[in-house]
Amino acid sequence: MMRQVDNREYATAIRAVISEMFVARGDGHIGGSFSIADVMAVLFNKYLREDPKDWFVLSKGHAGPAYYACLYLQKKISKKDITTLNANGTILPSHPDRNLTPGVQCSTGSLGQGISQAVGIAYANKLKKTGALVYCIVGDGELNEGETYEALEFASNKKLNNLIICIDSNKKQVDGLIKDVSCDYDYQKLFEGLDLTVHMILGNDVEEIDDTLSEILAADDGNCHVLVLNTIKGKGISYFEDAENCHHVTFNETELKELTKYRMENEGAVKHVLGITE
Amino acid sequence: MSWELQNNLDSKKEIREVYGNTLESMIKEGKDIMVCDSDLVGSSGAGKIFETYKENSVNFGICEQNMIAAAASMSVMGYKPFVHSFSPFVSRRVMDQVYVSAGFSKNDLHIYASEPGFWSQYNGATHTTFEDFAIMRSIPEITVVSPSDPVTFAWVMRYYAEHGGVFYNRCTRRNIPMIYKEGSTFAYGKSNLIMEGSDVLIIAEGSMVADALEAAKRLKDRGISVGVIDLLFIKPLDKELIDQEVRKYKLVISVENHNIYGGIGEAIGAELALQHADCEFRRLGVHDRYGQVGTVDYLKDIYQISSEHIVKTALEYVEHHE
Ligand SMILES: Cc1ncc(C[n+]2csc(CCOP(=O)(O)OP(=O)(O)O)c2C)c(N)n1
Repeated sequence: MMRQVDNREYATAIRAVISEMFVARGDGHIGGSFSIADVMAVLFNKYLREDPKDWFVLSKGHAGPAYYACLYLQKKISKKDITTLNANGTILPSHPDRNLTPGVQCSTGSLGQGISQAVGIAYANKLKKTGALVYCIVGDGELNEGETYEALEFASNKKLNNLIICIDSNKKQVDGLIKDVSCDYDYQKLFEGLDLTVHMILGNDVEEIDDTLSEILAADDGNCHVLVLNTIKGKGISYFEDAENCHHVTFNETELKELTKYRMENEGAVKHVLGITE
Repeated sequence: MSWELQNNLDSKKEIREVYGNTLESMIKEGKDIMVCDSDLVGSSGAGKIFETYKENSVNFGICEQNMIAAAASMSVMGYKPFVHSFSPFVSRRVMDQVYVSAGFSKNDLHIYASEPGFWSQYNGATHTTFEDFAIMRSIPEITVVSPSDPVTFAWVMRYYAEHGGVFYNRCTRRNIPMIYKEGSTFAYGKSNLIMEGSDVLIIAEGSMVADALEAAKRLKDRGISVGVIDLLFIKPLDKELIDQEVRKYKLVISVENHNIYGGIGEAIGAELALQHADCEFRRLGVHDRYGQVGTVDYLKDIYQISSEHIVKTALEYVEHHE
C-alpha cells in the first residue's frame, strides 16, 4: 500500500502548489485546474499504483498545472521547476508533454484526443492482461468534440472495464456556460445510451469520489465506468469561484494576493504531503 | 493595386481588433457575413459581433470539424462565412472538412487561423502550427495567405467577402507593426516588392516581413544592398515577381515561421529551379521540430529564424564570395 495522507489535505496541497506556479508565472488556466484538484488528490494519493503501472490521462490538458502539482507532491519534479511554468526552456509547459516532464504519461492539450489515447492504452493493457487501470479526466466543454464520443463508443464496444473516465462538470467553457455555448447535456441518459455505467457525484467532495472509486473497483462488473463530477470552476478560492468565468486569467494584483494568501495559509499541507515535518 | 509603405515599424495595431472592426463594418455595409467560432470568441476579437449581431454570428462550441463543414455549407444560402480558431484547430484538425465541404464542394469559407507558429507562445506544441502551409497548399484551388500587417489582413478579409472562394488566412492576433499605410490596396496573387536592392533578396511571409526589414537595415549599414519581398500570397505564388526579381540578386533568402518541409522555401526553391535562376538560395525556417512554450523572441532564436539569423546568413554568403 502507498503512503497516504488525508485526501482533503492532499487536495489543498495541490491547490497551494498550483497557486505558487501561477504567482511565479502571472497567468494561467486556474478555473479548470482548481476544479479537478479533488479528484486528482484522490487518484494520486490513493489509487494510481506503480506496480502494475496504472495510467493517468489528463485529456483536458490545459489543466496541466494540477498535474504538475501532483508530480511535485510525488517528488517526480523538483521545487525549482515549480516556478518555471511556461518560462523559456521550462519542463512545465501549459499542456502536458510526455517526452519532457518526468511522470507525465500522455501528451494532451488538443481537446478530445486524450480520451482516445486513454481508450487505446486501456485496450492494449487489457489485451496484454497487465492488470493496470487507466484513469482519464475529460472537460465538460471538451465533450463538445465529436472525437470524445468515438472514444466512448470504443470503450463501450470493447468493454473497457480497466478504464475509468471522469468528466469535470464545472459547467463552464471559454465563452460561457456549457448550456449556452454548446448544449444542456443529460449525462445520465447520454452515457447510459452508450451502454456505459454512470455515476453522478459531487466532484469537489473527496469522500464521495473515493467511495465511488472503491465501489467500482470492488464490484469489478466488467463495464466501463463514467464519473460525472459536479464541480465548481475555480473551486478552492471563493474569489475565483464567484468570478463569471476564470478559465484563463492574467492575474491582477488582487488576484495575485488571493493566490499568495492561499499558498501561505496552506504551506503546512504541502509540507505534510511531501513528508517534511517541522 | 496601390500601396504605400508606412516606413515606421513602431506604429502598430492589434490584429484581433482589426478582425472585429472589419467584420463589423462589412456587416453594417449590408454584406451577408456569418461569423463563426468554436469557443474562442473572446480570443478572436469578434466578441462584439457575437454580442451585437446575433443574426450574423454563431458559436459552434469546441467542434472545429463540425464548424468548418457547417460554416462552408451555409454559403449555399448566400452567406460569406468567416471562421476562427487557433491555427492547429482549423488546419491539422480539419483538413478533410476543408477539402470536402469547402474546397471540393466549391463553397465559400474564410478561415482565420490565429497564433500560427511561434505566436502560440505559452501554449506549446499542441497549439503550434509549423505545417499548416503544407496542409493547405496541397488542397486544390485554396488560397493561402500570410498577411504581414493589419492592412493586408483586413484587405484579404474584404477581398474574400467580395469574391468568395476558400481562404486560409494565417495571422497572429497580436499588436504588430504597420508595414503599409492605411487604405493601401493589393492584388490577388500578387506579392509586394517593398524594398529594392542588388546583392541580397529576402523573401518573407507574415510577421517575418518585419524581421526581414530589420535585417535589411542592419545589412545596409554594412554596405550590403538588400531587397525585400512581402510574399503575402503563399498560394497562388507570384511567380512573375519572383522570376523577375531573383535575376537581379546574387543571393536569395526565404524566411518563414513554418517547417522547411512544405513551406515557402520549398515553393520558392522549386520556382528557382524551374526558371534555371542563376542565384544562390538559402531558406530559413523551422528544421522539422515540434513547437514548445516560450516568448516570441526566444522561439525565433531557438528555431533560428530571427532577424539576427537572416543577417548571419547573408553575411556568411558575402564573406565567402568577397
Ligand atoms: C481541439 C481544441 N480546440 C480548442 C482548444 C482551446 N481551448 C482550450 S480549453 C478550452 C475550453 C475547454 O472547456 P472545458 O473542457 O470545460 O475545460 P474547463 O472548463 O474544465 O477548464 C478551449 C476551447 C483546444 N485546446 N483544443
